Amino acid sequence: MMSGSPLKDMSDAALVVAIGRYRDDALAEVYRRHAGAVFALARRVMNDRELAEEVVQEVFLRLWNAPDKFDPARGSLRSYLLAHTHGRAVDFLRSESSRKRREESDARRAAEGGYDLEHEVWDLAVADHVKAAIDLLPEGERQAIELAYFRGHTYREVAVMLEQPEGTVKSRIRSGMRRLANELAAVGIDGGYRS
Amino acid sequence: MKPASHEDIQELLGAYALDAVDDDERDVVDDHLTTCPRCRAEVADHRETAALLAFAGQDAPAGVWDAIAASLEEPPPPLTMPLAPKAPPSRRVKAWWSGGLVAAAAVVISLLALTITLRGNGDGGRFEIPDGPRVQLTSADGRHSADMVMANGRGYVVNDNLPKLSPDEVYQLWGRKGTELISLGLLGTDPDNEEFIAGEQFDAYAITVEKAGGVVSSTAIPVVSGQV
Repeated sequence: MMSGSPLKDMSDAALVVAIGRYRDDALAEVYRRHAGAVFALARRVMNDRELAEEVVQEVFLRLWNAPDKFDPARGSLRSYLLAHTHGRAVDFLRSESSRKRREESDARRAAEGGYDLEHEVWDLAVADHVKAAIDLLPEGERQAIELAYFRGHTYREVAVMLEQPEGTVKSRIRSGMRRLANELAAVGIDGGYRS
Repeated sequence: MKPASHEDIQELLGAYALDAVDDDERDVVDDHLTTCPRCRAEVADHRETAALLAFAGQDAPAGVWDAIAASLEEPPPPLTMPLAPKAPPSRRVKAWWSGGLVAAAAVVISLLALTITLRGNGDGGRFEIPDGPRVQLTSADGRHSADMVMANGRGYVVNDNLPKLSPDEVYQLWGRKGTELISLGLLGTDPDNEEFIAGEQFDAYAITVEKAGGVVSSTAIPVVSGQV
């Protein structure tokens, strides 16, 4: 059932409203716009293509089944989808079955030469700015964010890994995220939330 | 030790937004966020920033969409509203529910409330209602009514005798277009002189009572309704 403006011209929020009316073409458009990032994040965190594909399915089916969970007043659709993606990926990582394998994997990564957040970031238009903002982060903040976000560790686990006090790591994650946001906002990048 | 103070919780917000807190801490922050808009805004900001870090300019594997699309062939259970109120409906209410194609079908409601701004007198001052075409909404038993005035792409709920609601409830306005009911926004606990954007043409309007904050889909019987 097609009606209204062309899907490609519709805002994310309008597409979600259309999904609420069971328009699968609207879901397909949201998928076209955001599934690449969803998949990349899931794969990055879980380090497993098949599991990442399962998360992609789950994230988009959840949007289909419960579009009302997305509140445009609270942020962009992309950040909403990615927050769900990250939560599901982390749930998996913290499950008992995956813990051991992951610890081994982390040990191997550490042995292979440390952390490289800047190499994990892609973007067609903003990659340089994001990379520059990451480069400006103090080392402690950069490592803490990398281990928390891309490796799915809690800040307590990060504290143990970096041999830092928990409070320090907790503060560094927050200050690092704010620093990143400010640096990116200074060059006009804000994730689309405030624009 | 669980964080307790606002400052303690603020310190956790970065880790919280990255899913890097323990379950008990997450519960504490979840609770706090329900009452603290400033912290909610900070979490939203962190998630926007995280989304930038996560962004990858690549396509998802093609087969994944096929799997999703296949799942959609079994549609989710429709959001339905009851077709008949408990009390015998008046003609007007009956017309609301049985009009168009919805006679025996579930009525699907979608949310636009969050994307539409409302201006209301609330408890504060009044503003002048312009002249324009009126639509009368009445209740099934005829005891309650409200008028809607349309002017300059906006609508106004006026002259209502709807009872004032408790703070945990809210009046919600709906417009019907074909078989769809679309939320036009929340009218507060006392709707008189509430303004809404009436950019679209609707066949009919209704007001329901919902829990505070409104709903995406309503199962409530309209308090008042009327056709254009």
